[in-house]
Amino acid sequence: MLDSFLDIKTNQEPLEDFTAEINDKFFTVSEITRGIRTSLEHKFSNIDVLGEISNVRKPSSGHIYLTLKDKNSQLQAVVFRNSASRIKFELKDGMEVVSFGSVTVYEPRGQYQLIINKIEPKGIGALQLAFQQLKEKLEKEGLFDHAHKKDIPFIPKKIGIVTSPTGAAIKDILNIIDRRFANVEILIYPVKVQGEGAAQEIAEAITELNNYSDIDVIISGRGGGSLEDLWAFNEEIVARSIYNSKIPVISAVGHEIDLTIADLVADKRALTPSEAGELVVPRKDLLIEKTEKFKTRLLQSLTGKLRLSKEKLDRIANSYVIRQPFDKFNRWQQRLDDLSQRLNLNITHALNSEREKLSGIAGKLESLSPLNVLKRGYTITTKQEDNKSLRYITDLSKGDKIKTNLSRGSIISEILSFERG
Amino acid sequence: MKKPDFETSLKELEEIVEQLETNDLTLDETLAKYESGIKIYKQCYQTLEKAEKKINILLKNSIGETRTEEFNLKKTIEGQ
Repeated sequence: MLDSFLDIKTNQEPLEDFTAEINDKFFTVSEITRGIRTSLEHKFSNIDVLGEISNVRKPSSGHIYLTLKDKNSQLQAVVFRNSASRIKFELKDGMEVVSFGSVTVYEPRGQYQLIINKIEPKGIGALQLAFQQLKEKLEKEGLFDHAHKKDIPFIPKKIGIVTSPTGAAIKDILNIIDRRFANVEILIYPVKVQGEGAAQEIAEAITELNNYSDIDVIISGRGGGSLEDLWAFNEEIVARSIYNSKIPVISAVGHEIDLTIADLVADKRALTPSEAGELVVPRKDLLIEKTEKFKTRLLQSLTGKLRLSKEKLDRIANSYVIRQPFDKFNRWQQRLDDLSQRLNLNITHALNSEREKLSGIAGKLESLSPLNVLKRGYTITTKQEDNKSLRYITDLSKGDKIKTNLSRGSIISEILSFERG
Repeated sequence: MKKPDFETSLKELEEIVEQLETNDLTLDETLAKYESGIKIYKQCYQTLEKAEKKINILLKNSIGETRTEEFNLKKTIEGQ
């Protein structure tokens, strides 16, 4: 057993040489403690220990002291500052964890303890737990409050984009914007989007873009990846810079399934970088179409109204009240036409009936003509001397010469005697 | 002078069009509304067309000085 004292390497003080004082009768306290330490280190190095955390203490030194326990036992443990800084989640009493490390003895106190190099929550990933813890914390503080979220401008004047200049995200975002509304101004602030220092760069980028007075919206994000890859967007420093940004921020990290703290704090979450392109600008072609349609309707309304007014005017012009003087005139003209026509007719009629009458009389006259009588055998006797017609015998004396006209020719006779008839 | 933003202007234009289509306005009123409608239409068009396409990237040198440079997507993807 004494031999094993001599070839141990520890990071405590080098072994003092006790050999001069060793005798067979007893161990010193240090000897036995050192022996115990060596044995334990030999047997229990680089092991995983499952246990429940209790009594966590975090002094200002940065080391974390805790007790791991189960139903029957407990084990003191310590996470030194270097390892502690790498723990993504917060150690809380009652948490079940798996700790990877080595057992040693803290000799001044004679206390054995587990020096933990790495610690993971049991049943859930460390990162997932860290996410849950930070989400709870910031939510309580109000960083996710809906009332704090700002509106995204409908048509931005200048877009700031915080992302990797060579990743998949920037390509998608620029392509979508180019398709929807090409004539817009964009400033890209290149950052690391994963690994050491990424969260710092992203937070700084967002803060610095706030100094550009012409930028009215910021997109921050990256393409898809594992939880580790996206982790920068779950860091508190990024969340706070988004929250404090006066310019509205659209968060576009990974795919739909990748929800990050940045997504929760941002003024708008894009499920993918492509969606960010859709959220940040409207479709210009549709807007132009809409505007043109309104212009067409404006013009149509005006021409319609003009036509209606003209019709109204025509109707008034044609109304009785306006037309009346013309009407009267026309009527008189018409009357004149009518009368003159009737006049013509009447005259014609009258002429015709007089003509008829005339020919009627002429006919009668014909028949009464003495010449016709003569033709029937009658004669007309007249005094030869004066051709006067004779009606009474008293008009004549014996010896008078009379002329008797027959239809053709005449007889001259001398009256011999009279007969009274 | 702050110009009303595009969305507001478009809404105003829509209102004017609806008034012209449904209300029984006098010819004078119609002409006046038509005129202001056309004015807003021109503003909307201008807002959509006047901006220039510009994509720049911010570059910082080792002492923290910044400058902007035109961003060429194809170039950076190939250089990756």
